[in-house]
Amino acid sequence: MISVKNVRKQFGTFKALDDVSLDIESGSLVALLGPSGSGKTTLLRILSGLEEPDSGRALLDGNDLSSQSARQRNVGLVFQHYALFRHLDVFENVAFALRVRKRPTAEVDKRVTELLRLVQLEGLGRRMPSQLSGGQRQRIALARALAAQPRVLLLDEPFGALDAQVRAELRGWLRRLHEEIALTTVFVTHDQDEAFEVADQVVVMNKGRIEQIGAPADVFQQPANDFVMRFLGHVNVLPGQVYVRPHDLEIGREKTETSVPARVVRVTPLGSGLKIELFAPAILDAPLRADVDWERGSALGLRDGDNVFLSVRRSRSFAQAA
Amino acid sequence: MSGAPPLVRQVAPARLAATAEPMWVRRILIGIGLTFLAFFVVLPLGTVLVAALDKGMGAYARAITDPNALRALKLTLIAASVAVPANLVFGVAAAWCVARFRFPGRSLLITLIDLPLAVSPVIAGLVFVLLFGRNGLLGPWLNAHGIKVIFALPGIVLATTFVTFPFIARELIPLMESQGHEEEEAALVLGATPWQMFTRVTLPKIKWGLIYGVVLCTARAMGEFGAVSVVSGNIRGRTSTLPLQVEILYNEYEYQAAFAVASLLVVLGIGGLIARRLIARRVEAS
Repeated sequence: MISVKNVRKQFGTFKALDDVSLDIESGSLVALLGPSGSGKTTLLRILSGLEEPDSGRALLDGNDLSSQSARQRNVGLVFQHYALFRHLDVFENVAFALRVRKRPTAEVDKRVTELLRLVQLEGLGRRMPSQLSGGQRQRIALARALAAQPRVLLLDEPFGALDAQVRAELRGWLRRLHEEIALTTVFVTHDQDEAFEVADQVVVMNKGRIEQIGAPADVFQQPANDFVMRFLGHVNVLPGQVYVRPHDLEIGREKTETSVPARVVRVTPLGSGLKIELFAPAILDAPLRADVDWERGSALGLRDGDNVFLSVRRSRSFAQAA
Repeated sequence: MSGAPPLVRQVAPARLAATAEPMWVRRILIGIGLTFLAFFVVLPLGTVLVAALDKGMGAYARAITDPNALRALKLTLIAASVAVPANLVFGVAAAWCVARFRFPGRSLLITLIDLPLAVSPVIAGLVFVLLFGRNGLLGPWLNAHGIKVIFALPGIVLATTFVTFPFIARELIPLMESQGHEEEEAALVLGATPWQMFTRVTLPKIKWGLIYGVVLCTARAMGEFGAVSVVSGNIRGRTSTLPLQVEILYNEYEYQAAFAVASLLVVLGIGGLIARRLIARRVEAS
């Protein structure tokens, strides 16, 4: 189990981590989710030993990590931009952690072959990193991080530099890999879809603090505060700090008791349905966004400029959001 | 208005790409370049070789096997073989500090690295005389301990080291800055000791830039005249390096011998240039 206790870290006047405490269960897959500058990468670097906390402690299975240097901790770290050794071929990249530990050649060969098979890149051992695609490089970086059988696997925006399709593929693959080897894994991302798809637990961070910890569905359905609400997907903010998700706005052709008149500004098809921008001066003097699925959308037959009626199906407000 | 149609016709046939000059412009530019090169590089170097062989191969061989010439060659090689390794260590250390850390005095350090390129080598020589000379700051102490720096080998080595110290650092700083530090961090997290990180990751990363810097540094170390001239006192057969030996011979109207010795420097220089050319290609490739 990883325990982070009251960790603070400041760079100049910038508070990267402001009294962060967090427990991560052994064998779980946790996402640190937040915008840039929220401190998620700093937390990862403190766990890996590349940064020292100004105060507070990080413990791994009850042992204080601060007394151990990066190389004594035996954690696997995967960098956003891979950080493969450009002068070494794929085999030697994966073998690095074993070579610096002076393991016998036969053991190194066996382990590296095993890992290349695990990341489905057997046969590419003699390629140089520059000859690989982004997705292949990231898998090699992962194999390299796993070589010395680390106690924890840390990934810093592991798929950030890849294109959308490869990214989706690797997410599923990381999830399956985690089920296979059950290694405690922490990964940093600013992409909520990625966090929700891959992780068991999501830690939402903002300005060096943890805003909420929970299972993906809980965090999405029960956001702890307005930051989490705003950060996880688009939200309409109504007067009085009332938050409404686009799919919680109901559009109808007929006036009902709770509805208000609105005018359709623009209809845009999305992958899963229609995004509709409306103007409802009775609620808000700025455009609102409503999402409807294809069936509902075609039943309504909406066009730009149509006059419709809008009602709020579900809303949320936060006491502390004053 | 009658002028308009011919103008259009003039533009139409010119189907050259915007950046391609007409043939005659290119010929003139290439011609100027080659003529310049011939006058300022090929002709002087050719003259050195012609003058060196003026009195035949026998005289040439005698001139370059003259004991004083051989001693000068030896001194030049000794000075370079101390100055280059010293600057190798200093250059890597300085480039590491500058590229890796942000610290107070960092920009001062960068400026100081360039200092030997900015001041005249003669002044550099004089500084050492003022420091280590008989009446210099450290002179009495050195004298009392029987250490001779000025007009001796240590002075030559010091002056050469000073004049050549920017070359390796300047080659490495931009290289290390552009390469970043992630691979080193990866090495540490993977369990490397700092020394393993340096030898297994950093050195291979900067290898070609480093070799390139060493070649430049060596060429300059062997060719240095001004600073060495001031600190060495230019004593024939004792403290004269190759460039100084050339000057001595020339001043004594031994033109053929002077050019023969000079041809050794030319050979060393061209060897360095060829090495530099080959390495530059590797640097670009990596």
